[in-house]
Amino acid sequence: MPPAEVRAAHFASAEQQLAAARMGMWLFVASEVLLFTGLFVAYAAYRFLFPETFAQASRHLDLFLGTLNTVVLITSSLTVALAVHFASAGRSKLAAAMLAASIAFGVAFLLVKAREYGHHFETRALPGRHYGLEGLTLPGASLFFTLYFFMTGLHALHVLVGVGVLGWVAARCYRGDFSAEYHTPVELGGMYWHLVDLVWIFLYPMLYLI
Amino acid sequence: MKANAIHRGAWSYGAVWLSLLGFTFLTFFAAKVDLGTWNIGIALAIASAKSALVVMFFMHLRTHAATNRAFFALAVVFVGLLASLTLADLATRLPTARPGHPALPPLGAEPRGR
Repeated sequence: MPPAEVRAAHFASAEQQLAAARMGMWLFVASEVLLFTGLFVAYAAYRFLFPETFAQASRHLDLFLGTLNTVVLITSSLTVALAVHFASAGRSKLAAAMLAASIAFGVAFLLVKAREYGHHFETRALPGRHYGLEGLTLPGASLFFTLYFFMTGLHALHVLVGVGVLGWVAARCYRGDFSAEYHTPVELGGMYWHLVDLVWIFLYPMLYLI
Repeated sequence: MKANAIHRGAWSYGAVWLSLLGFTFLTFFAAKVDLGTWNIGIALAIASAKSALVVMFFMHLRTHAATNRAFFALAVVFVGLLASLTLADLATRLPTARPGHPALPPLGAEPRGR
């Protein structure tokens, strides 16, 4: 039986504790948004300087796999949202199942990404002096792949961390640590996963579409 | 929470998911049509609409405390500042300051055409 109230001594009430936890998470989300913005703006700047090169390099990426991964991540966000929803209704086991499904989607995303990376290594669509993609020798071509690997790599790292966070939260859900009154870790872990989805929502059009 | 309320809540998340899927296919097909510079604007506008759905409904910013909305809005403002000022800088530079521009004649050299 989970405790009715999990509250640290320095909070006046459980509501205040929840509000503080949410505020801390939103601050973290804002700082993560700005971390990725630095990379997005670097990409925008070089795209501005080498428009034709970036357009051609972008066409080298597998649009089908990129779109598939977008659908996979969006669906994983749905299952995470449902997990938080069920946890808040006290349906912990159902929440754990939804989190397990989200983890499966996250792993699927990483496998597809790994397949794409494999193809880049084969065709030497790589950053810096390792670049050797045939048919695209315009200046700035290796820069596209530097930014591509940095942005998708940092994002994939976040997916990996997110899978870990969701796994931990799912195990605690399954064990019965949470209740309708207290399930803050499910909510905050879920927010982290949605952030990962948020970043990909912008990476997808920037890298694959335009 | 009553079973009915639980179901209704779950279905509303499903509706958000369907909208996100719709936007994904919309942006996919919009990119297939050549609209010149409009393509980038449309793709980013659709991405912004999708993120608004995720932030407001999946992350519950809509119902969280107003301070949190201020935090997130401030992050968006800084994204806009960084992106717009960086691109404004690049766009207003002389062509000679851009990569790939041929070297200028040395200082003091005779101007051509005299």
